[in-house]
Amino acid sequence: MTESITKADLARRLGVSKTAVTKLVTKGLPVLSDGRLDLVDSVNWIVNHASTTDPIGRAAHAIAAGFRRADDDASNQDDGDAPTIPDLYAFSGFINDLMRGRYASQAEADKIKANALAALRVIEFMKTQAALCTVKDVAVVVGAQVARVRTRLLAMPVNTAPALARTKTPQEAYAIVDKEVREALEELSCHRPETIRKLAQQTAETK
Amino acid sequence: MTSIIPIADLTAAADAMEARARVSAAGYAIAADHPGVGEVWGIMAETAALIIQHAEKRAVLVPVEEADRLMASLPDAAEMEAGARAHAGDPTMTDAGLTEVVDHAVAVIDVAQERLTRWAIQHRLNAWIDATERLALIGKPMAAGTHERSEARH
Repeated sequence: MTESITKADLARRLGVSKTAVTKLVTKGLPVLSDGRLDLVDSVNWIVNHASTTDPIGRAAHAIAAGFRRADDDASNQDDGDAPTIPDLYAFSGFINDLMRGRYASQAEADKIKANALAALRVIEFMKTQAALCTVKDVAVVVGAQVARVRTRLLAMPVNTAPALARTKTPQEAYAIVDKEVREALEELSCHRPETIRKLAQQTAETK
Repeated sequence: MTSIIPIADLTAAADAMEARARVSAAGYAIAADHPGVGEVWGIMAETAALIIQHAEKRAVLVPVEEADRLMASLPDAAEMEAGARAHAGDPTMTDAGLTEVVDHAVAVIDVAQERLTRWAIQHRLNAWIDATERLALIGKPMAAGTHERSEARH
């Protein structure tokens, strides 16, 4: 089954921005002569060209899996009855069930949408107020700090060996090792709140 | 006894939940395009898109206070120092003893590093679990109250 759709439609189905789809077109995503896209061809192209670590790639893989399930379901129907909804819908079972059953009234749907929009606005507002930083930034900063201390600890035997060789009592050796470990620990446990605030400020300044 | 989920499994779970949420949202969009469905399906599809946008942001952003807590808790300094002191205070400490001190300290550092990795993945997983739950409730009648409670968590 083929279906021609707009770039905006594809973006919506993949849960990404239209700009992301336009970028894919510049990278070779096939476009029909009328400027529209073939849904199945587009999904297959993305599956073959986008990494699964990329959200757009993951979404395309998920949809392609849905296509395969829909195909399997269709081929397993031995009574010849056509599905009551197009095969494409079959990949999302609960939507199918929902469409057949009772679902939210317009007033309820409006209220739920308003809540979802409010949640999104809250997170966007918090970002502009420098109340959020990216997980990646935090991981990079903390990870670098941990790596520095690890390197320092691994170098400890070499760095302390001359001093330890000169010691005459266990207490002297204790003092040397204790000082080294303490300094390394201080470096790691020296939490600087301003680092996080700076990251949050940088995050607020990004689009 | 509590078993710790391997990081690879945690990552796979986060990937799976994200994929599931995106499929659900795509399902609403496709259903909304189905001829003859009411306007309510268009609203549900828009809601699904908003939930995905929210999850995308939540998965990668963290409140400053939470980042502060994470940084303050890495590593377990008391544990590391106690181990080092125990070895360093040993009157029979030799070069081998010093190696033990370093090994112990590095092991604690490695645990801290793993805790950091686990925290980042868990954060992403939580965002997509929440999105999946919310997406499953979009179209359910009488679900508005549940949604309000869900939004209140954020």
